[in-house]
Amino acid sequence: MKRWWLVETVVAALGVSAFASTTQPFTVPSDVVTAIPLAAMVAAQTVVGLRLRRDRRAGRAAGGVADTADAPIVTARGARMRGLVPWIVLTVVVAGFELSTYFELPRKAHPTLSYLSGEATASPAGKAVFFLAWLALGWLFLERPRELDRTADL
Amino acid sequence: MTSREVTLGVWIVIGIGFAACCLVSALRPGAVATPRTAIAALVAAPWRRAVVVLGWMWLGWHLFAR
Repeated sequence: MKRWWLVETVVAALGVSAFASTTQPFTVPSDVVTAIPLAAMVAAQTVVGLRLRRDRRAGRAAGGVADTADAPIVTARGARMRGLVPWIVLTVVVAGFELSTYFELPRKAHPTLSYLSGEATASPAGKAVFFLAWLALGWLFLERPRELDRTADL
Repeated sequence: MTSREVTLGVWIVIGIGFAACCLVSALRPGAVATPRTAIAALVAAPWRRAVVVLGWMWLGWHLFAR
């Protein structure tokens, strides 16, 4: 059952991405096709938030487990932080270089990530790939923290 | 070497850095967190989750609608 649901979601994402690849920015179709995942994300985050709250309440009723609902994430914090350091460094480097590039002109000589993505999404295939990647990234934010953590190897 | 080439070169190096992190996290998950684990840590707190999701929404709107 769950597998079919996953297949349907992937097919829908491919379909939306294919349609998005045919649209141009600043048009109603591009607004609509981008707004669909945004609305879905708001709805899904609401559901995730309600489930998290329910889990915490259930845990509290079961005898104080609620306050440790996110305990797996909190435990072994030092080891986890060490594992996160490379990602934090890379994120800071990207943000810093993006900012420094942003203030350099002309843009063609100093392309920001946004400018480069504009070049990459100029073709329908590039746009479809970027749209699909954006949807995939959003998918990761839909998983509940404990579900994500359960798959963690740290 | 033009400014564009230098800038593109830096972006490529950063991209290689991300790819290397993904590879090392797959080979030695105890040393480097997997991308899923990093995201789990990022969105563990409700306020961080809200900020990240808003950022994701802005990114999509910025890249594909405007």
